[in-house]
Amino acid sequence: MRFKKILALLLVVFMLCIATSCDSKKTVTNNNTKGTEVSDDGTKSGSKLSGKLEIWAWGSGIEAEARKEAIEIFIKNHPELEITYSIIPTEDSAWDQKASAALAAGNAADVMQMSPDYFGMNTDYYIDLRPYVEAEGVNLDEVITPGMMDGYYDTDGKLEGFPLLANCFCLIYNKDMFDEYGVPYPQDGWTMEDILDWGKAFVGGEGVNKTYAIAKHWVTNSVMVYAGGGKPYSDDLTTSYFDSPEILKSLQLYQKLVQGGFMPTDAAQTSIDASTLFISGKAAMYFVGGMHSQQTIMDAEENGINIGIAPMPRDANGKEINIQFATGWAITKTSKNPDAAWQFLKESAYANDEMAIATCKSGMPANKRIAETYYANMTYGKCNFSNKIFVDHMQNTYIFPFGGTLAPAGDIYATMVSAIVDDGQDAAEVQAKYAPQIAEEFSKFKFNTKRGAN
Amino acid sequence: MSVKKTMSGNERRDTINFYLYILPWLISFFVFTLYPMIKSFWLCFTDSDFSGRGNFIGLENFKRAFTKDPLFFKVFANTLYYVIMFVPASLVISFFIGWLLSQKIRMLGFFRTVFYLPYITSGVAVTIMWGWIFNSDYGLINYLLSLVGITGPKWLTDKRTAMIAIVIMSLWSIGNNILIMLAGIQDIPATYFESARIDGASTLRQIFSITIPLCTPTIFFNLVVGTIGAFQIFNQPYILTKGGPVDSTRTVAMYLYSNAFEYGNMGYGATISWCLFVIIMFVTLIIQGTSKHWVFYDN
Repeated sequence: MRFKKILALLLVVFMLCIATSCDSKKTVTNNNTKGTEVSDDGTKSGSKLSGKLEIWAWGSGIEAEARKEAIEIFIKNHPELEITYSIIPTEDSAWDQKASAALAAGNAADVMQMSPDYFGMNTDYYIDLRPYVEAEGVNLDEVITPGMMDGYYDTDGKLEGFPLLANCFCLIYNKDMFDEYGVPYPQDGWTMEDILDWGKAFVGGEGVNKTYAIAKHWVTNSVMVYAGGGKPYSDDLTTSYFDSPEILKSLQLYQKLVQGGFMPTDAAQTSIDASTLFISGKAAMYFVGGMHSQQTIMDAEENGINIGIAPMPRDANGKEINIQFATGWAITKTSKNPDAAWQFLKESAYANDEMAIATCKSGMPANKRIAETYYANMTYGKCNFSNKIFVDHMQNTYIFPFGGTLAPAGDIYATMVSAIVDDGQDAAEVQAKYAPQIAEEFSKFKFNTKRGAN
Repeated sequence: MSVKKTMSGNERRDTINFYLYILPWLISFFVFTLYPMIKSFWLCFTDSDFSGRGNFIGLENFKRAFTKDPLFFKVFANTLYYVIMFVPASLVISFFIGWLLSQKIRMLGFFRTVFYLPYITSGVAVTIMWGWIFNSDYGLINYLLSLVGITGPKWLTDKRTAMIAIVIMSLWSIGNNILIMLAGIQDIPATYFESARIDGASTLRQIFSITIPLCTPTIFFNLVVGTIGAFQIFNQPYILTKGGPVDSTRTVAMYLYSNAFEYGNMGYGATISWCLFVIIMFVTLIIQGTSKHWVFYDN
């Protein structure tokens, strides 16, 4: 009987442990109300702040570590605040569900992580940050990394969030393969269409010996949508352009690239991912993002591959096609301490170099000074790969076109791509069939609802 | 004249104990099953998002499903295709292997373990492994086919073969069905077979005239459970094909998951799930209805 009681007690303790470890929540309380001044950038801060501040962030692995480190720095610098934070995993939509439910219920944190390519833009949950920016009297162009700010403005001009970090892409290529086949290295200004010409040299072999001009990175679908010189939708997000001739051109090019063997089919990459094809010498080129460049380059060089670096391709009009994945913060309308929240946003974005350096672990910080110095100077590999290429090209990026609210449209686009490149269907017919479906999705999106309400 | 029956002290204590003992289950049933069911039914008539809050929109979600959403019927057709291929195949194979394992052969324990192992192996790991096996360029199946001069199909990226590949993969993990079938076969009294052998019945005749008829309750059980499970197929296509190529492996469970948990359309996701529930119930009732014609109980 006693054994059963002990067993029951252990089970209860075990369940409590599971329940409390669902997210890595930490509470830091400091009763020192004197306040301190953080003046690493010369601006006075923290002296008038007090009260509680709750922060919700997403992330796992190195991303969560970087986030935690940056927040801890802020906590250390602001003992006058009673700060709590949670870092919630994004896997299995855990963040989406928890954050959305809390936002809708009005009990979300003061500061919520958000992204311009994700849920959060064009909503009524967050305060407009423009008054805070104006009160600071800061010129954002001088303090925020170029290319990182625009995405946070709503179509109606509201500043929904403030940047923390972003990642974009560049091309890495296998110099040995280029040398072996006598193909000149890709130079700035190359296009996806060019691959149909000089990429032929790399196409060959069968089964395990099959080689390709370029591996099909998961960002390729997004890159290809711009390849024909068009855009997936209007800048104000009201109109789908999936029925445009430019998109048709992109789709036709995509089909030629895959069916011509320049790029692997999804069949080839069902179990061997794109980076593995590159680092095993089976693909001559690969798009690499700031979030995984170091790992890919180290792995490839371990396999004896000499790596060359080039910018991303240009579209039919000569504009660079680069995709940005961005992460920022927003202040909820229900926040009881928006001033402290703004202090956190400001320091995360540009006013705390120590926090920006911590952020560098998971991407390019919004802090322009740190991005252009500390982050840009980070180099790795025998090829001396430098993050400077990401900093230089961030301003040419498109925000990931199919994130969050736009995901249903992205899924339909993925089906279009599959029909064309995997199933070999006629691109024009596929466009005629699916473009209206995307337009239909567009008509249902929240930002259009908001505009209508306004 | 009515006699009012009163409970004795023992009976009352037993009753209280009974409810106390089932209380944990009752609570979890109400909280995790009944309430979500009622709530999800309500969601069908709303445009709720992740938070579960939304406006009442009447039958709009059903109207969208049946008149506006081209994927709605496609995912049901895909799922039905999977069910039609998987369920009969799983019954035949599990019966056959169960029958083999009921024979007195050497290393019987080893074989029983081997056939049961895939069932207890992590579904995700199994799916990833089959991803390698089905890889059209590097995979084992196409390699073996190439040895005899056959160019294998692009299993997972050809819409004609992708669902077949998923069925084959699912059939690899029917260890539990085999175990249940084996138990059913072993439950048949040996005297029936002895009598049949004395009468000169061949092995095949014994299977068709004794084993299968007396196994029909087990087959019926596997059929019902298998059909319900097959209609809810999710993991394999979600991990292996993401619903592609061209939505050919997008199943109902995947579609409702996308709508509810990826797009945040809880209302529409709930609508799809209730449609699935109704279809599963309908099919189960049909199977139940036909059972009196082909299921034989030895009592």
